[in-house]
Amino acid sequence: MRHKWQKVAAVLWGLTVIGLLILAFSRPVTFDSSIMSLLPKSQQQPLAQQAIDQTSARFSKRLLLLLSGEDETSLRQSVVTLAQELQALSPVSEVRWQVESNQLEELRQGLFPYRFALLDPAAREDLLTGNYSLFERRTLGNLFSPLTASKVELIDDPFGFYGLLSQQQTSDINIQISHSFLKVKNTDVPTYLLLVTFNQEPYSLVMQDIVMGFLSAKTKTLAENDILLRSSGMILHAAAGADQARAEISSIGIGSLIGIILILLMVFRRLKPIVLMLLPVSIGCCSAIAVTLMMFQQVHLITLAFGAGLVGVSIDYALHFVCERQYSNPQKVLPKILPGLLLGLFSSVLAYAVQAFAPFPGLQQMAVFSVVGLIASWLTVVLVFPVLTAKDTKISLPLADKLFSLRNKIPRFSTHPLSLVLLLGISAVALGVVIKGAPQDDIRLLQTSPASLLKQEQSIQAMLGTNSSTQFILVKGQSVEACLLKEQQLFKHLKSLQQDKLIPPFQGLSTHLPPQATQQQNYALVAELYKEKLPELFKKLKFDDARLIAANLAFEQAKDSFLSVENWLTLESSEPWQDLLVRDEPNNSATIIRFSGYLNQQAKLSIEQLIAADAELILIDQVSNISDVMKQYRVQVTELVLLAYMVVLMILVWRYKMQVWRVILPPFLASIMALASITLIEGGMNMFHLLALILVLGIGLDMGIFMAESGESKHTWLAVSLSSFTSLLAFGLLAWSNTPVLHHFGLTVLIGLTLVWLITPAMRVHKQKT
Amino acid sequence: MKNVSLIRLFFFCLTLLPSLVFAQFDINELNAISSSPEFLQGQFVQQKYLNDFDVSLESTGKFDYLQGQNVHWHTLTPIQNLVTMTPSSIVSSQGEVEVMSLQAESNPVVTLLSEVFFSVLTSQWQQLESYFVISGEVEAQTWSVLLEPKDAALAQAISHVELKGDAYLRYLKFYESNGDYTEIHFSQLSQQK
Repeated sequence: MRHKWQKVAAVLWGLTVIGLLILAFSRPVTFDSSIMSLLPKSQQQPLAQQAIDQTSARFSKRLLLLLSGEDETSLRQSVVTLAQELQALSPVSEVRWQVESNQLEELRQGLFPYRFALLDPAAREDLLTGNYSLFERRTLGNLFSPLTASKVELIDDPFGFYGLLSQQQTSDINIQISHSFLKVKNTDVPTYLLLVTFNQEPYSLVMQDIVMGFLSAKTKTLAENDILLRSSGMILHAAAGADQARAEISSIGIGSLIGIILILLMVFRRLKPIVLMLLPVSIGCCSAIAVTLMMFQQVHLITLAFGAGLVGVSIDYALHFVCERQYSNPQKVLPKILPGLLLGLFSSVLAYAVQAFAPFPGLQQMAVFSVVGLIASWLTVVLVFPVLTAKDTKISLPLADKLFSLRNKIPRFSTHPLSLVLLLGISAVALGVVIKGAPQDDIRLLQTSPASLLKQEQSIQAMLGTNSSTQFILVKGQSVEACLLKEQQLFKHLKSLQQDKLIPPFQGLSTHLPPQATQQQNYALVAELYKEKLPELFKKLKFDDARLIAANLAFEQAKDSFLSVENWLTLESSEPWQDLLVRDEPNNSATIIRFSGYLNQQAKLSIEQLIAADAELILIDQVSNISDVMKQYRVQVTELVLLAYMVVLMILVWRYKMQVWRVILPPFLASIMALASITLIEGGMNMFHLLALILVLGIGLDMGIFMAESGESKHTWLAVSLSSFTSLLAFGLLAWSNTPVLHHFGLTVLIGLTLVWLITPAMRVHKQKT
Repeated sequence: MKNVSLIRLFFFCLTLLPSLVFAQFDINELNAISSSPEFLQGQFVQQKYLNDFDVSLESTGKFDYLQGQNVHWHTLTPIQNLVTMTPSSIVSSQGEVEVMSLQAESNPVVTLLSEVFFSVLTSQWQQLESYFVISGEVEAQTWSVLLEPKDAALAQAISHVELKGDAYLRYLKFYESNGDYTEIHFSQLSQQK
């Protein structure tokens, strides 16, 4: 009768899992590889976040391509072909590689009406100081020079204000226009630039495949024609990260799978237990992916790596069952081990679930993933295993004896007080190291790009004179006009800092769009100049009065031509600077002051001092922001790990009373020693080390619980040992990963689990050999 | 009938040949006559015609250049104005006052124009060939040449350029796209400093 119910339960559970999978995977599965999406949205104000997004979007959706070769003609031909082929790719929204011949004219038509209102800073300064004769001399110089930078419009703009303005409207990158192409200046080999803009963020794997596939094929064919193709852009880093993860999953992943299968074969010498072992883990992982997909719409690759690790703990349950099965009759196995299994599940689920309380999207995903995965594999063991193993015959496990005698060689504290003192001594020292050690919350933890890529990136940025730093001053105000006025005031102080070489050059929106008040003042200044110098100039040129009247009329007509934010946005010339405007809303506007170089600590300090008194000015440095966030979360994860220990401790106290230390001390001491080793090896711990400790805790607790529940039996020791070995193989091997995050995780698991396995037997009750 | 027209066509083609050969302008021939000394100085008379006003502004002065380094263009009448061109900048000054200063790196159009002016003045035909289609004729010891821009961006500024000379450049006329032109006569050329 009971047997029959078991079958029904197994089938029901199987159907549930299948239903779940169908539900989740009926939609296309999307994996996310952006580390940034694991970080919480800035806790600062939304304006700052918008400014950060805007600045990084400028970088992340762009790809810079440089073509270099000795033969200019074939090089330019290649630029044209490459541009056409790129344009045909689906993720590409725009390719820029030439200056259309009408572009200069368009620029002119856009800005010319505002020639008296915008004024370049030097001209404004000269007008303010009344240096009028300079303007007259400049016009005459231009008229008599064989070569003029811009045409002298003697009626519309006799003093050439537009010319001065247009010379200021140059792009901030090292490019010249050669035969309508964009040519990089001062290079040994002729080099041309193509600027590609994508229509989506570069983290989609599909998009990466299209673009990277195209680029690598193109690099090869171009190299055959002696043309070098170099590129720079976020997509390269994203693709390199994803590639590395994929390569490691296949090398480290397959390596550990083979290792695990070999160990299980050695112990069981049959195939079936191995299949049994893998069944709950794979059902656990699949269900976890399914539920995560349903809750978060996508699964992050890091969640997958960590989560699979945590679910890997569930191999404990399977091993425990299968080992026990070799000694007990089918109907007796489950009742015998159920208390232990239940306690193990309960403590692990609690330990993992506390992560969900972190306001950290990545941690929440991992919590859901591992809790669902654990429960699913636990149910598989409890519901399906009795049915699947009902007719198995018992086999002897010689390795169990060997491991057991090995275990007995580890000194027990009850018989060797000295070893207890030694262990506590080591632990105390380790605790000291951990407390004294400086944590590392550097953003480089998140850096996954290979050094060669970073180097290429730097060399391209140096060639073009650009930088991708996300340091800027956010200027907030009631209106854009208010922001612009504030910028202007700040500029005076920033300029003196720049003159003292404390900060690099900077650009603000007001550089390109002066406040209305300034524009009106500019016009008035030019009116003075007209009154003072225009008749004199025209007399020197022997122009008659009709022309003087015409020129004055043209000036009069420009009286109301002031550049508004709306009009500025429509100008061709505003395109490179549009991200300086963050938001244009009544009572909630913001602009950006950007630097064309890196702000070092001293520069940041002097700016901070300057703006400290004004709450509407904020210096933003995203790199240090991310480091701050990493620090906050390291602290939070520490608290969560401790909380997990406390919760588990309470449950275990209820079960084991005064004997609880035998269960909780091994993972606890192992964790402290692992952290101390990490501090010594890597120079500091970070949140990823701490996350790995949750895995150490899970397996360590299972080990203690199963041992206590089974009364120290041989096959339990075999089960928990196997569980440690398989976890070591599965996750400890990640210590050799090149992805920093996975490396930290792996190393901690490697050290921590090994220590747990060594310490646990020492804490057990000593029994005389029978 | 058919044969006759074929023969006619053949002869017609033959008559075309000499003109085709003539249009194949030989820069080497030009190089053989014109020299481009390391240093040159002289005097100039310049007429700048402004199309919009139908006036011509005359100026005179002296100039010198050091191959690949700089050009000084010193207007003496009707105003005093010294333009100093180097490959990286153009600076214009009157007496002690600097009235204009352009850096090539921040101003692509100026870079282009000054490169052209440099090449014209110092007879760098190879250099000019990358910007212009060169045509013209060479007769005994004199030559006259027409430059037409290849590049659309350049054509925005310069319509075409006429040059005449012997061992040295004696005359040049820049036609701008807007109908303005600049005509310059050179005299008293000397390689002595």
